[in-house]
Amino acid sequence: MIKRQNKVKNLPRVVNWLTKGLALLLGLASLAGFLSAVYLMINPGLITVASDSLFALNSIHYAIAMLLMAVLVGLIARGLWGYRNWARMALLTGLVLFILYYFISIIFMILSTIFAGLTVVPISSILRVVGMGLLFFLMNAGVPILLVYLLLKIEQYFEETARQREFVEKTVRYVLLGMAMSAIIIVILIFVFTMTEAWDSIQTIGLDTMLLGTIWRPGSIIGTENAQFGLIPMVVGTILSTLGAIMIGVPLSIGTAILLAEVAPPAVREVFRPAVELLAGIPSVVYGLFGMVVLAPLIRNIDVPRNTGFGLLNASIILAVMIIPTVTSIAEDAIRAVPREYKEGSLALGGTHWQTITRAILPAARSGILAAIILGIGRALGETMAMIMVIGNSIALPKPLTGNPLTLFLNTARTLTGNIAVEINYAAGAHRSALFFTGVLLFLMILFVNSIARFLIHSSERRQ
Amino acid sequence: MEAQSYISLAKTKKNQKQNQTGQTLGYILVWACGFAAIATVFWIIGYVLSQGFQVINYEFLFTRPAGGVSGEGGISTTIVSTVYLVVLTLVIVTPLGVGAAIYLVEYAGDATKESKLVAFLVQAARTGVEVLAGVPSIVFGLFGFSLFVLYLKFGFSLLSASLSGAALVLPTIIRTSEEALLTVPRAYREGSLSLGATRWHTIYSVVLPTALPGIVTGIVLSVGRIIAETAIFWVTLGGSFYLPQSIMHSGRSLALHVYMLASETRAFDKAMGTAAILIMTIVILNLGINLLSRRLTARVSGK
Amino acid sequence: MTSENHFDKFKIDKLEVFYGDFRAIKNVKMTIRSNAITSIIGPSGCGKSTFLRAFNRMNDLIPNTVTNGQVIKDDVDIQKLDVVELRKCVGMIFQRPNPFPKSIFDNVAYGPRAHGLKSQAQLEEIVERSLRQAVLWEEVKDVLQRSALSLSGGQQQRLCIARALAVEPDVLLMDEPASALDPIASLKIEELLQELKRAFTIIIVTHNMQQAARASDFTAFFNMDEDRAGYLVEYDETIKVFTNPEKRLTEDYISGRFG
Repeated sequence: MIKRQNKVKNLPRVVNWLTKGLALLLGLASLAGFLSAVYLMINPGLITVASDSLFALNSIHYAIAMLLMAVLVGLIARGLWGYRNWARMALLTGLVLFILYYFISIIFMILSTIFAGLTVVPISSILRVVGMGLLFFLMNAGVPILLVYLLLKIEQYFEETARQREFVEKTVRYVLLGMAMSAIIIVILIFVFTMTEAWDSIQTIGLDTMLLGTIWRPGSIIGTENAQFGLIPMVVGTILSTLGAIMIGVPLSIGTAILLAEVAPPAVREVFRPAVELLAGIPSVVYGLFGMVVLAPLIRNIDVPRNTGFGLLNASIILAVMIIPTVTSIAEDAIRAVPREYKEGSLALGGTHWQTITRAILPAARSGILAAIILGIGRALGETMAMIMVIGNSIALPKPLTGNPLTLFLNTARTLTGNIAVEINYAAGAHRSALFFTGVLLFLMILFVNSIARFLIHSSERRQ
Repeated sequence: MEAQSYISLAKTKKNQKQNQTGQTLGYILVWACGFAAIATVFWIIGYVLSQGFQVINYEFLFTRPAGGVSGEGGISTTIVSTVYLVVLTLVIVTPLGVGAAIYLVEYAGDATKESKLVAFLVQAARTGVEVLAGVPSIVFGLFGFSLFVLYLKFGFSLLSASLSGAALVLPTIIRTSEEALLTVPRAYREGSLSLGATRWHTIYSVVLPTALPGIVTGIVLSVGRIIAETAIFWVTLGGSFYLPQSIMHSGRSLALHVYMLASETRAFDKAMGTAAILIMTIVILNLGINLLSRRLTARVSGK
Repeated sequence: MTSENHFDKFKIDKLEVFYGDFRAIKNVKMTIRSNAITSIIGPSGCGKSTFLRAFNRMNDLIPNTVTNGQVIKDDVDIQKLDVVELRKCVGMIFQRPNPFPKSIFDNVAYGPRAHGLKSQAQLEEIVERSLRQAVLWEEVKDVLQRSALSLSGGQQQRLCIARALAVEPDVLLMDEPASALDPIASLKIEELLQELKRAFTIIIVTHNMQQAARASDFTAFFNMDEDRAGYLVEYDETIKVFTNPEKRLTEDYISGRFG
């Protein structure tokens, strides 16, 4: 059995002086802090603080904070004197935080000098600023860095009892459990805060007006008497753009999925799949920009009066491209998951590869493919920035531009998501509350859609 | 496979030639779909890059936006703000997400069997991750707006934006870290415990270092997500084109700048330039992820 | 501990282990002699590994496991010992070598470090001693910083033995330590065990009956009953078990009529 090292042998005198010296210093600092806290409590008028922030502080708060700090530092000093490892670690942490704080301040300072001007800063100035920053950092953080280095070096002389390790073990469990709960806590917070903000609109405007009203004219600028908060135009805009996206994007995606899973040789797959994944990483504003700069002029070529190039068609195309990666990858997984026996059985009967795909594999993969489509719908429903850039953002209910019903898609519209994004920055009162309500509505819609998709995926997995 | 399919297959066996043409048509169809998808990728990326590179020069990168309708100036402050945003968000979300994943993989199994309360909490935790993963980004924006900007009075700031961004990418970090931890062989944990090490020491000294590449992959994925996101920062970061002097100041990310240029100014060329920088960053990040996961699979199979 | 000082290192009484509702081993009563090699033989699935893992309470790690009865080490019930201390005294070597993806040095130093030892000088001393005991020092002394995974299978297993020895146990549990190795490496392990038994008590589970016959001093034969629970059939000196067993079942197993 390993004998625990009780008193460390061969303790160099330098180490002893360093440790005891540090402990004494900290002890003195603790005492000073304690006395200052007491003095502050007796003379509270010494400190005045601005009180516009959430945490309005006054002298008593400062005094209490100083008292706690003094106690903490005192404990660390005591622990350090007794060569306790936890004290060394606590001191290390404090020093590292101090150094980091200065480091970050320097970074902010240097970067704002180099990057924030209207004109390009010459290299000589950059070097000068960096040099000064380094100097400033070393002056303030040099000693702490040295201390950190020394504290790390003398690690072996500090003991760590089994009881301390058990304590760490127990606390770690609870801390980690708390972290695991963070996701559900955030979900609850999201729900609470958005519902709280949305509640006003439900009470003042009413669910039926919002969900069934066909006119959206918040008129916050004029006054809320004639304000109307009907969401139907936005609901229609969302549905139509999503529908368009599905009609264009789903066939393409499923075709590509079949290609990648069954038809293409491995070399082609190695190129195609990362390329499709790249589509998923392109920011939505870039898609929006592309729709504005490239697609809009192209669509404007269609000779229909009041065709601006922006609108539901533009939005549908962009949205279709955005859902391709999602639908393709999940559909591909579903096709791959079909047991080989289905495929081999069909081929053994003399069916061609294509017949096998259409008559054996695709039917077997249908719930997975359906799930892919539904997840694509979910993705389309939640898209915001690209939509507000290409869909026109008109608040009227979209109607066909001419007698031809297809020209409906050449008209402009607005989505639920776009509604929120475009108006939230200047909305107030009931108007803002209605926008929050829209957010809650969207949240529930997408939650519903995703649950269906997940249920489908699980049931198809279970069947396999 | 249903009996009907077998029967219909047998019937169509007779029309061999028809089947062949059908197959060729089918192949052409799917190849066309594939090429359409690829062509779209290359068209969009190619167009943005070609248009954007015309605008990118040293001055573009090192001077700040000047504001105004004509969109003068460069994008220096947006680049730095984006970096600040990414770093701050990662600092917040990485310990939280990795810690959560550690609990769910290493502790939850036994803890669930010991206490009904813990079992309930763990189930709630897992459900929370799933639900959070499906929340649309504009709703995160509203959440951040109401909680951080308004209620906690942080205002439009890096802090509000990073906290909201952290909530956005938390499910990603948790999921990828969980996967990474699960790939660590049980034999390592058993070996460590049989030497008398505690569970936390085992995680800290053996499991985490082994799972690190997978965890880093998740982090890189999140970085891509943060850079590409706009809606959530539109309502929490504000749009100031000045460089934030602290985390309580407002700023403008690259993606946000693209939007504001495109919608508030007529400087589509600068918007393309910014978009080009964005796309290049995403492409490099994607490459990084591919390389990392290839190294990962090599390591696991090389055991 | 000299080889003259033999005593009962472990006394086992009415030992039972349940995985949930399934009883893996039942009613085991035997003793383990110190400074000797005891081998545990028997057909697959008869609970040999479960029995072995009872000695260092590794079964406690599997949820829903219940252990009844007593395992008494040096006159103390192991359930009453601190499990971390117990595992320091009772080391375990697994069937497949499982060195950590760290350097050779860090692997052997892992145990002492986990128990709070930080002095580099002392760690180096312990690493050299353990590697010498495991007859691996000469082969790796110049490459201690190299990854442990770069060693051959046999070397890795000896590294795992060194790693277990580094925490200074007095008992070594081995679960088929040579089964994943080639015959030459396997033989080296056997020789090592003969050396080690002078200072340690060794319990080894093995499928290889020739190995059990050659290398061990005592043998315990387990079998699976109709209720799929393992039980102790016979336990005696190896020579007796293999040449003149008491039970018919033992003789059948030894001569290969089943298992």
